[in-house]
Amino acid sequence: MNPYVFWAYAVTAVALLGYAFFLRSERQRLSRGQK
Amino acid sequence: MNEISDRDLELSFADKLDRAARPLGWLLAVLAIVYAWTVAMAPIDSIQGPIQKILYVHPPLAYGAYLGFVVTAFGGMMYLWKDQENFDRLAIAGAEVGLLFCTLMMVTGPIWARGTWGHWWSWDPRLTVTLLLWFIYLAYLLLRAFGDAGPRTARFGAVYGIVGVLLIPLNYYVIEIFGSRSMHPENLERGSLGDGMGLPFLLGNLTLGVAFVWLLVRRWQVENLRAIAARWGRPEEDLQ
Repeated sequence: MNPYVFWAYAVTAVALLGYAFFLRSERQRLSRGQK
Repeated sequence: MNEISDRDLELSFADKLDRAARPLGWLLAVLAIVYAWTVAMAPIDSIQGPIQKILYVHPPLAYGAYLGFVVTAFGGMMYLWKDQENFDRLAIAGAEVGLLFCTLMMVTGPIWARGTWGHWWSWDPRLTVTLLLWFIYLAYLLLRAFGDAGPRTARFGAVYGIVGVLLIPLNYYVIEIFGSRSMHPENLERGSLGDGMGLPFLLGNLTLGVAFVWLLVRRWQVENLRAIAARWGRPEEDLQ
């Protein structure tokens, strides 16, 4: 695979997944014990 | 209306956002697999070679950034009109997710530029206005993170977000304004893409569009939960 293409997609995927996991942990921290 | 029911209303809204986000997450998981497959199978461009495949991620990220900043302006307008904090929280969520997409657009763009132009950055009109757009929304988020939490900051943020969004048409049309002095390729139009490139481009926009909406809803939910925690304490603290 072309290294430029690899890095463009890898950085995007990792950043979006990382942000999604951050939001998930923040949501769990803030709503713990809610229900 | 008493304090207890206000809190219940806020919790109920956060719960609605949670229910809206769940199916979007599953849809995104399926789309991401199909998108990855179509990008892998997309034809190789005869001029640029395989590096042209960055096209299927770079413009969709730009559209996500634009959308985020439009959401910020919309949330700000609705907050000024209706005076409901939920709209202010939507504006913050839009700016944060928009800035993430804008940052990724500014990472994937230079990667593509390095492979085709031979250098990472150029003070081309499109790139310069994009950098300005990035700084404007970074400043918005810094203001919201470190400013007072009261309505004065929210109102200022709303006006700032509405004025800031005016830069988007300039960012989009700057290439046409500067014509041949712009190094960045022209905006895509119908017929710009070669055979077999339309589907991965469409799926790129669809997948990153759903990712944007999903992250926006999740971020809005977090902003609501933070406001609930700041006002009434975290739910678990009730039990102590």
